[in-house]
Amino acid sequence: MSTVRRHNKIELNFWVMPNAGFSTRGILDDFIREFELSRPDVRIKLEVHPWSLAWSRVMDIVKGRNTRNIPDVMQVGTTWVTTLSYLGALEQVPDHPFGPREHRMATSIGDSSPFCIPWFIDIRVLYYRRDIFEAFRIDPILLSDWKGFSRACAELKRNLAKSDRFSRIVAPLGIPGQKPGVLMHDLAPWIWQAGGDFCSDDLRETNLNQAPLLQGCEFYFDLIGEGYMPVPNSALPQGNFFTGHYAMQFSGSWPVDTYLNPAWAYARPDVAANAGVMPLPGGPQGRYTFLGGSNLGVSSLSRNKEAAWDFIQFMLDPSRSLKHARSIGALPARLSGMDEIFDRIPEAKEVFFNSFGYARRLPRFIELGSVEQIIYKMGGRILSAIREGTYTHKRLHQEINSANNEIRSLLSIHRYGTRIAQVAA
Amino acid sequence: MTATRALLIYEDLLRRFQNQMTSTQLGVEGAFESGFGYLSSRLKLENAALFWWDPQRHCLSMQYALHDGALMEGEEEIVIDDASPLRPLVEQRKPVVVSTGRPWAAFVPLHIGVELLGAVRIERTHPLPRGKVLQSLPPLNPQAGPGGRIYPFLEDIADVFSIRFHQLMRDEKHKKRTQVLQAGSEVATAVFERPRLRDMLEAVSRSIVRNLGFDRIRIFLVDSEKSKLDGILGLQIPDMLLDLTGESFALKPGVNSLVDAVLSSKGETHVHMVGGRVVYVPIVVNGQVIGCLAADNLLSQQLIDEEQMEALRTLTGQIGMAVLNARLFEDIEQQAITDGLTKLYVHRYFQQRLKEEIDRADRYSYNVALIMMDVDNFKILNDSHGHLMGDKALEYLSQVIRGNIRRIDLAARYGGDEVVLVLPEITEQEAWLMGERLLSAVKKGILAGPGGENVSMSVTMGAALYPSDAHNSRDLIEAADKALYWAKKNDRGNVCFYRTLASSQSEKTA
Repeated sequence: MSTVRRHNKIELNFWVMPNAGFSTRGILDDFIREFELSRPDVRIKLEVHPWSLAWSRVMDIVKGRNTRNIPDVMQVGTTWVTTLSYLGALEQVPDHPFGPREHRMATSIGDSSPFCIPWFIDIRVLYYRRDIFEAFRIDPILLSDWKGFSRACAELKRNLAKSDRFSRIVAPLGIPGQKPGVLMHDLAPWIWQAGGDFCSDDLRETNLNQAPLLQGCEFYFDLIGEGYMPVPNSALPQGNFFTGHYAMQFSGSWPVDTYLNPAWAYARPDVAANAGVMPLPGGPQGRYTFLGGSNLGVSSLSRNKEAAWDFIQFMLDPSRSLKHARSIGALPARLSGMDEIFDRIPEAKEVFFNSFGYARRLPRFIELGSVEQIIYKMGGRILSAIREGTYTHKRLHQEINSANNEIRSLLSIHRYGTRIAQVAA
Repeated sequence: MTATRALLIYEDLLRRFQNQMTSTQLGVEGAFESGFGYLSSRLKLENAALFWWDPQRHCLSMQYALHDGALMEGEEEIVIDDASPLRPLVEQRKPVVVSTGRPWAAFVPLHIGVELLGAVRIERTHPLPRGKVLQSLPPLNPQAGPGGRIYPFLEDIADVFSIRFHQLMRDEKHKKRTQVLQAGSEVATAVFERPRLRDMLEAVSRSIVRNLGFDRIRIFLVDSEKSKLDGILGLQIPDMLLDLTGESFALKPGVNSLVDAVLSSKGETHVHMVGGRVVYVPIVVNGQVIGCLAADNLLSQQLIDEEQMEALRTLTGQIGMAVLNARLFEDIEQQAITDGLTKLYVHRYFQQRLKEEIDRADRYSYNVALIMMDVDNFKILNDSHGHLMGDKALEYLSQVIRGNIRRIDLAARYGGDEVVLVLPEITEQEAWLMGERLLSAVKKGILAGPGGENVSMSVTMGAALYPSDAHNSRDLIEAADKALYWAKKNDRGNVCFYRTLASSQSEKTA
């Protein structure tokens, strides 16, 4: 039973992932207390589930293998939306009080699904060190396109090797994210910029063996192959651009209120004072960046959907949404109020706001999870080749071809959602 | 505080720790989260981390870290070498305090019998406030028990957590075994209670998905005449039935992994795993592959384990036999309801289906048309060209009918040269068009007589509509029969509707 009445109170289970690491609970507790004061008839039970367990726990509920602990309100990652909607695990967003879907889409950035409402978003931009660029007389304008970006990386590598002043810097470019590998969304912007995608527009055909995709992957893996970015692995030190270990890094908005704020306890003054923000370099077929984030939705098994939507409405109030996004280092999904985040860094504001215009999500097909895994494994093999010194474009193409075959073998006869028909009443 | 009271408080702490772990349905991680979350709040232990023991690499690898009520993935690895202070933990499964200062840190082993499964690290950075009852409890005080149990508290929580862990593993194993047995029992019931193929496979698929926890199951059967693998049906979470009709693959190497699994099975039930989340289990009966069962977890991404594969392998044996039985049953049933010459349904089956269609028409408020026809001058045809020619004419007529009616229509041999059509969900105009189309198609056919001469044929039809012309199936047959009788007398080679006949009669009466 998802919702229980205890001492005449409705108890809502609220499932989230650790959006702010170990501080997640503390951040949300304040909002929950405020809601409970305004709705004395409702008690919110917050559960923080690690990403790797959260999906599996949600699927156990869908499969009927967990019938006791069911969320009423749940955080829904952007890559989860399609599958969960397809499985009927999410309740459709009511027009009242959220307004029609078109209205929601016009006033927010993020998911346009009828089954959830964007909560917060993240978008990738390029951070660079102005002082390093100035010291080595590299014009940041080079970072505008692929060719210039590669040239800037080469210049940085050459100059950093003989620089004592920047001895803390280990490589020109830091690794985006914390996973010891290359994720689908690390590769996606470069593939889009080369004019490709992971699947056809109608989402029915997944094909990695296409020239633009190969070109995008070549560009990204060459950055590692040329030694501009270290090979991601679990043994790497925890450092990143914001800890002063790299001259550049693709990242989201989270450092704006933390590492780039000199008043923040752990901010490095040299980084905070010298960090510049640029859009991702544009590719041969345009400029794209990755849009991620999370939504809030109501489980279709919730016994108290009305109270659940009330709580979501409360959480999505513009001022709360902004406060929450700032607390976890993300951007609110609502356009209103976002300016405040960038008050201190107008340059970043312009870059972020412009990026909304060309930000894309990963393609939304039901088996995205399977394809993500195959691509992650493919990335692992390419990184091994780089480590072993056997990386070439030919090898890269072979690995992409092999991943493509694996995807096709898996999906050609296992496509979900294309052949569904009730054959019996 | 008396020693007895202290012990009572301590026992209460352990009991609550144990209760917290049993209150969750979220597996080992859930037990760790609730149990150590509770201890953290009571004992001001800021951090706890769960490690799995990797005997190959001789290291403890962190799975999850718990801090401030939040559980997160961890990435720490601790290699246990000769110099490691954690050797007693690995070798003797004893708790180890690795730091007595700040932070105070200890590892407690997680084990079943002598087998080490992992460890939990607990840390406390800040000292407990003075005067707190719990701090003074002897088992919590590291100085309290020299000689024997140096850290009784750590040993106790290690034992409690290990026991809970053991229980969870045992419960999980038991649950899986029960589910496999349940699936086996349900499949056996389906095999006995559902003689028809699709019915039986639907029940079997539902049982497998529900009990064995797959995202989806699909069943394909071999068409050995056409050398292809035909999709029959499937079922996916949450209880969505899939129609795989028309999903066919040629049985040639390299077509896809499913076909390859069937071809490579060589008459044995090998389980073929693809990428950890898809399995194919060929359905083998008497050394012959008659189909394949494909199960996958492509939506949930959950890995398919050995027990699930073994259960599938066992169940496919039963499914194979059931498929053969169902096919045999359906063949016999088909023979019993099909006319040998025309391959149309027999009179008895027609009567049964007509009643069913009329019931359905009542329920959903639609029309049912009944067209009754017979071959014009059938006796003359038989007498002048022989009875084989008569048979040929009936065969031809049934062929024309089968090629022109809809999937939902039913054609039956009513008797002799009379054939009936049951046309549900149809208007009078549509029924008339259908009749005209059949009349025209029959007329176009020229049959070869025994001497090579051309023999033409035609039919006459009488039609009636339910519910406008009749109140039940018997009346409907009678109405169509009357219309046919009238047409044969007055308008041979055409279709006559009972309504026009009835209205012309009432005009006459008037």
